Amino acid sequence: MNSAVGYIKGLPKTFWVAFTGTVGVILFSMLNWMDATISYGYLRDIPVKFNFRMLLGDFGHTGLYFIQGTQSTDPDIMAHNMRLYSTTRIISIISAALFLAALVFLLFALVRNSGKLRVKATLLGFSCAALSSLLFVSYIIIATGETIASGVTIFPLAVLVISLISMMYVKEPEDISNKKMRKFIHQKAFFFMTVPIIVYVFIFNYLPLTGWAMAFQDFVPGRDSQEWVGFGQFTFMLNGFSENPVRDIPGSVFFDNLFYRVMRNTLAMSVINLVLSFTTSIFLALMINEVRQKLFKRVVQTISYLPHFLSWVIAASIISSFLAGDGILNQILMFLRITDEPILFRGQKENFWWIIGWGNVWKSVGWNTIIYLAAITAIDPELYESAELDGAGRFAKMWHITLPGIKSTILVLLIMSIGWILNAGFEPQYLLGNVLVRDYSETIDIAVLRYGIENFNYSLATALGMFKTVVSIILITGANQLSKRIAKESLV
Amino acid sequence: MKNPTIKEQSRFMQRLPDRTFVFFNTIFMIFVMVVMIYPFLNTLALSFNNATDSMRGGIYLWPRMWTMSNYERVFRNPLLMTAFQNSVVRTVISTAGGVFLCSMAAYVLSRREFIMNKFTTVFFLLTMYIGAGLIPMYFLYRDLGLLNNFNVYWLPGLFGAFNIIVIRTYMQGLPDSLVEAARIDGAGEFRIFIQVIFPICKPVLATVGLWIAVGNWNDWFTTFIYAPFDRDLTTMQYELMRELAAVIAAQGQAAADWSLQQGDAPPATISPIAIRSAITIVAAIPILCVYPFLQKYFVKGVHVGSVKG
Repeated sequence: MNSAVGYIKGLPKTFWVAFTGTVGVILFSMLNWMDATISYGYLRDIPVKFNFRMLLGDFGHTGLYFIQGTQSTDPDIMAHNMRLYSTTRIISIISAALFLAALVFLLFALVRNSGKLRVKATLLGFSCAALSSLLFVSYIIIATGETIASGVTIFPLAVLVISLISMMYVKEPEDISNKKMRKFIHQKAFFFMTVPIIVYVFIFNYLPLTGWAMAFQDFVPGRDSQEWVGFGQFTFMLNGFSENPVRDIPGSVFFDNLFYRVMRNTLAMSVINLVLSFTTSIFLALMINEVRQKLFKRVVQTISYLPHFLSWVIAASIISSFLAGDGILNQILMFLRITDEPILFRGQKENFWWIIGWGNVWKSVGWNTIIYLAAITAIDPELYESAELDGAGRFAKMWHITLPGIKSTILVLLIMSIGWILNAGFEPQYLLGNVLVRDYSETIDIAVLRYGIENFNYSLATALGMFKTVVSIILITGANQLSKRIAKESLV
Repeated sequence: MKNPTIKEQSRFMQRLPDRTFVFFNTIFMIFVMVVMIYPFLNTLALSFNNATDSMRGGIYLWPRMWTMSNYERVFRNPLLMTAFQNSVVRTVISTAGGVFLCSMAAYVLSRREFIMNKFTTVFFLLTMYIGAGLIPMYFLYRDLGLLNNFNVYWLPGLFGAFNIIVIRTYMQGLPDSLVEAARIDGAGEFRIFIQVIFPICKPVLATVGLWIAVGNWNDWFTTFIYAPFDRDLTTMQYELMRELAAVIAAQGQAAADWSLQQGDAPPATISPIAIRSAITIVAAIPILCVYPFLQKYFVKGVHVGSVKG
């Protein structure tokens, strides 16, 4: 008894890898077989005869059931099915043979106690299993025309993954002669850490890019095949909506020059934002820097960050009550006799851009000073001392030392925000806008929302969003080049 | 910041323009503080004031008629409680998951010997610049079954390229000997990450965690687009948005009426302002209680992220 325990404990790590891997491969292949026969055989009322070959992975036997319309009497379809069957059968036989080979190799590896032979056998076995499952996946795809995302392919993919993982662990890296392979196996932990994230990022950040196809279609949800219109959506967008080459949109019978209006608003608010936020935050940073009392300075900074942590919903309500008919601004204006009756700022088109601009300043000026204040602390204090010796006053020091000291930071941030100029924001405009000021409040993002989600014109909205991204990328690349040349610092 | 010597200080006192500057600068700072914090204090005062009394206006920094009934009404409201709960749960999950995922990615990117380093860096950073846009995302979420599903709140938002850069930059500043020593002791990469790197990155992780938490807590857009009608999935900010949207719409309408007829006084807001104030406070206070304590961390984090990014 004891010796048995000792024997089991004494087995090398590679044995356990091979063992778990083999069990996993067999288990998933069984599941695979069950899934294939049950779902495609029984569910279609086709008697599935048990066959030993099936157990070993000869999915070719059940292969016929995969093929769509097997029971059809149409000669054309039958001929097509037979052709498909003969092609897929070859693949499946190879797949089955590989699987058989994998089993043999792995069993051999399990029986062997030590030595190079076992390592080789294990590696070979898992390679065969992986290849077999890959072939099986391709076989299913060819036979059914289903995509890789369908449930049937999960089990073979599991076999593939198990095999690959097992292969990484089966051998001590030092035994491998190939340098790159050795490095790869050495760094397997890195791969396990990155690959899930890469898959995640692919799904959530890159997969949706395929949705850009909608911009070149006349997309109607639920239709089997979409109509391709080339750049129709883009010309439609640029021409305005009076002539409607693609599709009638409810509510747009009148000429709607959406694109130019939206671009104008976006650019205007971006520029106003840029100018206001840069000047105010640099000014505030300079002033905060002049505060000598540590505690007071800290309190000022902490409080100035406060609006940054409020949501735009709350900020919008604060701004709107500030501007309301009985709001503080009107009270001040009336107290100063500038106006006799309250001004309803919220209904004025011409002020909307400035409301957004100053609202942004209120919300983020404190936060934006952080970066400038950090840059100011990096300035060499000796510069100030020598300037003082030369008799420079406070403003002279500010102008000749502090500002030039943070010049590169300002420049980098400025170039960076030029790259983001089409991102004028969504929340403030959406929350503060109303029917009266819509012509001036609608940015690209809001238009995408209104046309896409609210009016179901997915193609036009996608085209608009795509335009924004593409232009942004061009601008950012340009800004990066500019920054490399001017500030000698790459942003990307 | 150098300490001024006595001599310098006396010279400083002699300079009258300097003293006037300090005076005006202090005034300016006080003005800035008032502008930043007054709206919040005003909301706070309103939230503790009697609801009907608040309609009369004239409440600035201190409630006229003390009451807790506004908060009672908020906390008795089952919808608002669901919203609060959802907001808390999603913020906690997103922050924990996001910090873990981003720091793991950052750790891998900070190890230069990793053979896929370059590809991974480009693959991750490109996401900052390439966005598919709202509509493709909407269809993706629909296909993934994320519409009207709680998972939409945390699952898509775990990854943040900017956060990864910030953490990576911090990690690159750590001495290589840390990792080397752990490796010699026989720790695997994952263990090095969990036991060695993760703990010493606390400052930057606090920063990123705060950013993620703020973003999640303050987000109403996700609910608005992906789960607008499911009352069980509502969030605090979304409820607040609906509340305020009603008011804003009424004000917009008021402005419209105003411009048409010229003469009517602007109508009063629809739901009692005191109640709205209480909701606002509940929706704002968790973050406002946390951020001052993390200030020294995020100040550093912003610096690293913006310049090196």
